[in-house]
Amino acid sequence: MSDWLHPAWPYLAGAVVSLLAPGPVARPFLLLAPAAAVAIAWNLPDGARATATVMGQQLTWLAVDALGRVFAIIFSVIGGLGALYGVPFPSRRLHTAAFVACAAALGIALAGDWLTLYVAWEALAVASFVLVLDGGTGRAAKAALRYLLVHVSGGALLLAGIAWHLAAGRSSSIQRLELGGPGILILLAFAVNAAIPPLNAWLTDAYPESSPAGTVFLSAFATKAAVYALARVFPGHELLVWAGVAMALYGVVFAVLENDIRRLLGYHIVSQVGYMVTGVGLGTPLAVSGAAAHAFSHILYKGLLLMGAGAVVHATGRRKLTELGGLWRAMPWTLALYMIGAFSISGAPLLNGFVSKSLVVAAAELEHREVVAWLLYLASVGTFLHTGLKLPFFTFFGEEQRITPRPVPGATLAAMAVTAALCFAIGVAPAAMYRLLPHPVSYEPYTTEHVLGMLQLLAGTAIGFALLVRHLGGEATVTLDTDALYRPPGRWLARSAAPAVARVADVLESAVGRAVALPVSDIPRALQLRLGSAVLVVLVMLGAVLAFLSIIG
Amino acid sequence: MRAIAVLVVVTALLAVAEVVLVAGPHYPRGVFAVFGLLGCVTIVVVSKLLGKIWLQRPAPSDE
Repeated sequence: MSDWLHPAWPYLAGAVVSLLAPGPVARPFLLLAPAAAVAIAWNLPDGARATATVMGQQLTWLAVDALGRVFAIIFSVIGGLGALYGVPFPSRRLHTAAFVACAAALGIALAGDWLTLYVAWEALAVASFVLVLDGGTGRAAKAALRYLLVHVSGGALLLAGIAWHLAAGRSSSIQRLELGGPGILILLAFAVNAAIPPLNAWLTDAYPESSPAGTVFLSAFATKAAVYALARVFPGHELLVWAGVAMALYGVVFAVLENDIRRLLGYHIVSQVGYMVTGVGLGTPLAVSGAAAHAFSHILYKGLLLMGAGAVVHATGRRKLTELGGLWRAMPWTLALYMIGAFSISGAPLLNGFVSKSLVVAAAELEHREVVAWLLYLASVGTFLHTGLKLPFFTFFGEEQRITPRPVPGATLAAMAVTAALCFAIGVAPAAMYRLLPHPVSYEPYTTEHVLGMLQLLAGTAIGFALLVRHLGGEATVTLDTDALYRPPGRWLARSAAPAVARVADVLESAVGRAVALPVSDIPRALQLRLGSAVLVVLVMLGAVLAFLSIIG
Repeated sequence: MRAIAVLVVVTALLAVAEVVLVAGPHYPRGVFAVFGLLGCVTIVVVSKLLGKIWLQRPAPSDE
């Protein structure tokens, strides 16, 4: 028996209760489970370890240090805030999958060996797939399947990398790797989850299709778990500096063209994760702490922004800038709380984004990486332009659309208010967050020069927006992303593999259906074929991994 | 126009505050305001151009 509790356990218990218990019984657990997880994560001491032997393998399912703990704390916190936001949405699927995703993210942050990391990694992919499905539409089902295929592919890369690493007789504990051999495969797997272009399209494809609450959970885990993994395994690799800068700018360019409010915010996840990846690539203690701090802040302010956008979608049933406008009278609290998130992500003083973004940029400046720093300032301009100006202007002001929105539930607004309060509290008292970071930080963001500089940056951007506002409204278009590269060959592959897919679906219907005593024949044939294709892809991926491992000996 | 005028005045006041309050700044005074304006215009122009010539397609009927 271990001396330590894992913060994932309350979430797993909460998931079981959400799945099995009647609504009134399950509802208290939506808040009790996260509260217990936060308490456990907060009190885990450095060096705490716990192991178990599974099928002859010793797994270190808990290994605590400052880097893992800061991610564990924020994963636990956002689970509670997301659950509070989701209380008015009585979906067993949502709450069960969300809590499993929280547990899996915590499993990643506190994993002490590669196999534990892999199991948690795959569990997060499956739980996130279900969260995308929670959108409940045909588009959501298709996006969820694409999400699963991309992440199964990433998982196969991770498994292959881990197996190669272990087969070479190296340590099973998670340590820094070089970019060669298995390190390449593992880096690629992390890059898929971090949404580093060109491996980014799954994010903006899937997240906007989930339910309002589902999107809040999705935004918190996959990319930030990848940032954690990069910080643990690949700090200080120059490649990541430029990958991060490219992400930061890629997101803002695509956000200009975006009409869907949650997809627009999705592009800004890519952009903000770019800051974190840059920090990891710089690799100095300040930069890695900055990356961790920015992940911590980002989970809060991005959660708040998506809560606001989700409230709009819930209240109006609309999601496009071209269909929205004039909501400020009907939704003043949603607007006010959304704007706190918008100012935070834009780096406005007194909010957490100002502190954490400054840490990463200052780390670049201290290393005399002026080009990197100014490109990150440019990304900051784009961030304020879209999330702080374009989206709220065309959603809450702009052309009146005569919409009569449904009231936003009280619990939803309460979740937004608590999240906004946390953004503000960390912004005015950053020492509380500094104490959690992996390396000691003495950086002072509130110098007169820095505050005035950032206010000037925001004011200059606002002038640009005011000059160009007529050209910035939504357009009824879709934007090609990097998925345009693999969707056509994917479709060709799907058509070519149709006979095999049909056979797998038949096997599902007969063998699996009998084995689990489920009426599989009642499942529509189209869904059977989709499941069949997913199973086939998984089998092909695992076959490829086995073949690869047999080749490398 | 009034909004633009207000924003210009606010920006000018921030620049004046920088002159008065910050001795020996790391960057030229007012550079962040200029960078914000030019950066904003650049991002919009480049993105719109990329959209028009390459990335944007008409939304399908189910959009």
